[in-house]
Amino acid sequence: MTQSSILIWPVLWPLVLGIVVFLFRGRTALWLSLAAAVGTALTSFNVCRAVHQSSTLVHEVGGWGAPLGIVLRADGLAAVMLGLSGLVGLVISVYSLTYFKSGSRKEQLFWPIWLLLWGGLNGLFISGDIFNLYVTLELVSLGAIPLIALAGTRDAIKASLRYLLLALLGSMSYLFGVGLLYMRFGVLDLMMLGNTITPDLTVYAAIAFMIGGLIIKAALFPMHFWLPPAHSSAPAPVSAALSGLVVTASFYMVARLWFYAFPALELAKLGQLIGLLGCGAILWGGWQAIRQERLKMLVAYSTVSQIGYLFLVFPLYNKAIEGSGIAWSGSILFAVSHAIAKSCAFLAAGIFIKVYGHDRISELRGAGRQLPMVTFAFALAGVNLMGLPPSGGFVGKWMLLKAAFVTGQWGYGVVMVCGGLLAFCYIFRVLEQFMTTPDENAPNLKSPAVMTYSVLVLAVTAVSLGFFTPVLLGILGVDSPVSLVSFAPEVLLP
Amino acid sequence: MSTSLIYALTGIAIAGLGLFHYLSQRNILRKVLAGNFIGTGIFLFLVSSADRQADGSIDPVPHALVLTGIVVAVSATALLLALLCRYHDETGSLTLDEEDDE
Amino acid sequence: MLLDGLSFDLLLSIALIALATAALRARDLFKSIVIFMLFGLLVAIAWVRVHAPDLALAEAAIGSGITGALFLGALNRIERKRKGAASGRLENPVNGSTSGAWAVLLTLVLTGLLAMAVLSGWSYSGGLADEALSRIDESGVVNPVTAVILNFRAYDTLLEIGVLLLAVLGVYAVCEGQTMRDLRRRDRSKVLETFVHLLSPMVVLTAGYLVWVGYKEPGGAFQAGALLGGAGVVLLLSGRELPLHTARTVVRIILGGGFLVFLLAGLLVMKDRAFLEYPRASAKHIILIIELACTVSIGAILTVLFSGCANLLAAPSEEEGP
Repeated sequence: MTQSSILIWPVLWPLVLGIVVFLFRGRTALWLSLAAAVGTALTSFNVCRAVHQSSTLVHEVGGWGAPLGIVLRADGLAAVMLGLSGLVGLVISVYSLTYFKSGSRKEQLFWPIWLLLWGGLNGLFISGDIFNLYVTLELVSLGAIPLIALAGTRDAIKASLRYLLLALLGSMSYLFGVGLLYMRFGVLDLMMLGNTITPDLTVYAAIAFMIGGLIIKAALFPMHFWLPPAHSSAPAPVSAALSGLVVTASFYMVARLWFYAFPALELAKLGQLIGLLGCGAILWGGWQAIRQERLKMLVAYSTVSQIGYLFLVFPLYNKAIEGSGIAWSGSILFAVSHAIAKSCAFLAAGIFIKVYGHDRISELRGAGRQLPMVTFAFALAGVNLMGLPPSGGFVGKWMLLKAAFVTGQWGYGVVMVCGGLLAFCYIFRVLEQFMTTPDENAPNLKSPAVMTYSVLVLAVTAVSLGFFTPVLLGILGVDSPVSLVSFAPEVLLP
Repeated sequence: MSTSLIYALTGIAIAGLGLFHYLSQRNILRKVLAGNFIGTGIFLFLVSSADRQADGSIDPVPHALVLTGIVVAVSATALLLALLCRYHDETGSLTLDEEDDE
Repeated sequence: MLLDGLSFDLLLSIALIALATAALRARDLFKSIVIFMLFGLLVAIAWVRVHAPDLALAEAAIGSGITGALFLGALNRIERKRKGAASGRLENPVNGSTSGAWAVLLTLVLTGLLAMAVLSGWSYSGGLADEALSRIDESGVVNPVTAVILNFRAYDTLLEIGVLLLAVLGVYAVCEGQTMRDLRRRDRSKVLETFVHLLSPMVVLTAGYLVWVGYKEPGGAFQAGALLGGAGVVLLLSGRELPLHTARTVVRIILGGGFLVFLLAGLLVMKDRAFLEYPRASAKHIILIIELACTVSIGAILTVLFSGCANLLAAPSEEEGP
């Protein structure tokens, strides 16, 4: 563990530039925003590289170590998340440069809010203090809401209102848990908490409140109903950020707490309960996605479904059973590839809406002929969502299935396979519409260049993520809480 | 039963009252008000837990946490109310219909 | 008959619960909000009882004062829009409650769980009190709460000002294109205007004092900022037009200045040190500068938040008055 100052830059760079962008206007603001996006991405990748090469990076803010001060910590998990936020955030930013009407009020307000949100996300990923996690979570939630409301439509206002009401409930529940833990142990630092925690009524109540609150924020079934309206009515880059990064952040927090603050506790039963909810999410989300008329609603329900897979790590990982550590890597890989693929899908949907003016699936016939690259990108994202090789979604799902096999929990394996079939149905349905021949008098439409290329970048990354598995596992393995058997590709074979 | 424990339990009771109304009221303005009660209840509990030392010294960390909490609460309340007013301007309604939270 | 400490606390607690119930069940929303504000003041007294005077100040100013103003502003705006409807005041039966059975059950379970958790864990008093108090000389200030907020855990405070900023940006995002309520003709009151004339300078002085004294006594940037925000609210209510729109660069600088100063202060000390690690000798001065900048920003932010809720946020073209 080394005190490092590069760790703080993925957080500070977007925050500083976010406020500076707010102070400027016009073209200057746009250039600054681009600089902010590029800088944030580069500093995030830098941290990834540093963690991979050496070991966990630590930064004691204010020079005060735990327990008095706040410690920021980048281990393998945080580094992977930072890399994810850097990549997805950069693409979303580039896309947004041309998405909003130039000089409009929406554009002026989008950039400072988005940059503050991005900074909050990065701060969340590297935070090592349970109260600091609360504050960064609030930064993220209260940043996401105005971005949704920016769309200005009645649906967007209503959806953001509902989201905020629920998000607040989640935050307060989490805060109660933090208060209980502090009352009992007198520490807020994650690592110290992990070392001193003991099973106790207070602790179990705290866990219930903290995880319960985060489950609302992660839209895990049955607390998912706020997500589809919110993610579908938001402007396209915002939907991408929400489904890709914000929801992942809430899942990350649960994982961080579970494996770092609570590993000493016996939480198997809670894990099974969460697993059941995950199954509900996979099946219900997939089923609802098939039934949707609008493309963005379909993609949003797909998020609901895919989130379910992530939460299967809690029942599938069993420290007593060797080899079940693969559930951990599978879940994180799945999270990363879902974030990339889902943001790609939403950005692509945004292009369709821009070009056609709507996203009704039945009326998007022949879009493949007119917007071939965008359709191709969407198809690649779909490959990842369905879990086909060589995409990251395939690798993640395969690892989770192996974990189900190794721990003898076949039920989860069956549900995952069903989820894959459902995904195939809803993706195929969309692609079928796109691939049909368009009507003869359909206008010859041009797809916006910058937006199309950004979508393609994400799509290709998601699909080829499978090839990068060893690298990702290498980063993830730094200070991993879980004993991963090995990182060789043989581990993927049954 | 010390002073601070009384207030801690009172805080829990107030949070409970707030939670019940938050869940059961359909009028969003009332929901937001109830939410503020939940928040204040949590803060009462947190601050009271700072005053448990035998020698009477006060732990300043929960005070800092609650100050942060108060600021976050006013931020969220302002955002909620602004959204509600805009929602009301557009739809004339103060409830989210087909509401089915937990 | 003198009340001993414990009886007073019991009575206050009962009063708090009673007021909370009254506020939540009142038929008239206006009454609910006023009772809520009264509740907030009693909570402030509770905090004095638990030896938290900084928080008592903050609660009275922000939790009760500003929040109450936000609610009243929103309520007023909604009622004006509904003037065509049957009743002027919004009453409970119009929007009733959903079937409460499961809500009652859930609340009872959760509250019971919380109460048991608190009771079982209460006796462990291993807080950070000793740690914080023993290192307070290194922090540059004497007031322990200020030390925690602006030094030991300054990073949290920095981020929470970011949260405030997001709320303001959100309010601007939501309030686009709203027409400004015309306060000029109807609501101007000579009494209020004179009151405001006399009070404004005093409020500014008191705010400055609160920041200064936060070094060793209860006080600090948030309390002072809330005071300034309250002054802003009263100014707005008295019909004074304040430039609040983001089109004006000055407004943006004031709103974002505190956050920027805080960030820069944390960055500038970073040579060979950690972020926000103030050198011991100048810690006191750095903290004061940060607090002053934040006080102004917080005051402006709270004023804008109020104007957003009360629909006083005008687009620049509408700002010319009679």
